[in-house]
Amino acid sequence: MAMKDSNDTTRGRVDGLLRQWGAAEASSLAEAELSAPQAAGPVAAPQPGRSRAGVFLRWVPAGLAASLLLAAGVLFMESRNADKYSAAPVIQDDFAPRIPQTRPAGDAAVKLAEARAEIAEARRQAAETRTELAQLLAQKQTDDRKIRELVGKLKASDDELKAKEDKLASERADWKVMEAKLSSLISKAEQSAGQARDRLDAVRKQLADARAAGADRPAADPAEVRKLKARLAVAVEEIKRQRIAFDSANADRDEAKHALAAVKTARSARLDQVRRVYLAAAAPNKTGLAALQEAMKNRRLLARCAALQRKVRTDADKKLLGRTEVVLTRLGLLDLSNSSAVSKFAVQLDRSGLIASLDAARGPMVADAGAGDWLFEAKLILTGVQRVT
Amino acid sequence: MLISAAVLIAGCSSNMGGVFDRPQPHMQKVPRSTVGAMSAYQEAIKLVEKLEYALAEPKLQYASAQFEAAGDDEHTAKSLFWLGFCREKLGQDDQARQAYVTVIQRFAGTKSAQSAKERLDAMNQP
Repeated sequence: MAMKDSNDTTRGRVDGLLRQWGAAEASSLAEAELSAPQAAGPVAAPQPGRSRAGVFLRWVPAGLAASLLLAAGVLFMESRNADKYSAAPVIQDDFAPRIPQTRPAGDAAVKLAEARAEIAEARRQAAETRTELAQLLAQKQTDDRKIRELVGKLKASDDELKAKEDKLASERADWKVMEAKLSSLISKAEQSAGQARDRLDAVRKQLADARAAGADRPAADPAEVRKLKARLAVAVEEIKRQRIAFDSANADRDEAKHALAAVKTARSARLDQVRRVYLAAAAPNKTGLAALQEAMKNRRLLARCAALQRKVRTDADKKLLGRTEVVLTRLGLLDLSNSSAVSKFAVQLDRSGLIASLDAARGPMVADAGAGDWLFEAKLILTGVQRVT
Repeated sequence: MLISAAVLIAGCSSNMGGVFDRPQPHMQKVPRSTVGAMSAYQEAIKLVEKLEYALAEPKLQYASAQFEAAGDDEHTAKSLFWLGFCREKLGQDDQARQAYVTVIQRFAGTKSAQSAKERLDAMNQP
């Protein structure tokens, strides 16, 4: 193939010479040219750079090399930019600048500047957000502390009224015992008087019968009659005395009952005030059952209950906390738009006697400040359900 | 040729039971009574209030399946939440988490999902 190309080139050159020097001269020169060996010198050997294949072989590799160099340069610039972006640890995904996968190297500087500006902006926003978060956290901690203090004060106030109520309830219980004793005494006296009366009636009947029958039958013993009359008089006197004592005890009991009712009413009213203050702090901008649900959530009552359950020792305390947790969870799930479900829940809560159990809670668990506050808050919320519905 | 192709396609389609035997959309939600499920659910809640979690659990399982079959999302979510609650109290933490996650994922935006998330967060705290 190369040989054939070489011959064609030679023949071309011969034609040129023929036109230049004439046919004869050309013929002799052509003979000499054709008879000369192929590798005789630069004239016989064709110039490689002048062939099409030569041009192709020379420039295509050069072009490929230049393209590779350019591509390598672009890739290098990209990798440098990528390193810079990944080295910004505070930038969140949302703020990360959108870097195209491929772009001309000339845009790199502009894009880099833009990306730097975006990073700076994102950092500024992140700093602002951090500051706001810190402020919110501080505010929440302050609010929590205030509510804790408030709960402590409210609880102390409620404890005072509760102590009064307990004292009155205790006195009332004492009066009940006294009343039962007096009642028993009166019953005995009445029984005794009844017996005396029956015996007297029997003697009187005996006397009357004797009178009716004339003097044939022996009259009743006047001494016995006197004796019976005396016994009857004593019994009647005893009944009167016991009756007075009984009436007095009854009056005292009624007084205590009224006093207890008054204290209970006062405590209930006080509890309502306390609940309003508590809800205003723990669930602002909410009213009714929604406020109770919100307060429960904001004050993390269920999460705190779980922590308390791990601390308590006695079964009674565990049971009380467990029951309260279930009821509070039900309250949290309650759909307030479903009035039937709300009423049902309130009725079940009332029947469960849970609030009374919370009120009557005693022992080391209540003495613990955290547990005492929790029980008080749970009581505030659950009594609120009764109040609202 | 065309007739043969049509016959061939028809023959193939008759064997594609998975596609053509599937219930039509209007048949998927068959209205079913939830009286039994509601009764089981209410009994379960009473048992939970008495802290009888082991007795409440199977009732809640039954109730949630029945409510789900009837398409009652609200009660399905509640039953599943209480199922998780019972399992948590019974010390079956993994199963409890599973139930809570189901409620959170399937019934997002409901009070049950919110409560489930709170309980899950509390469980994940050390």
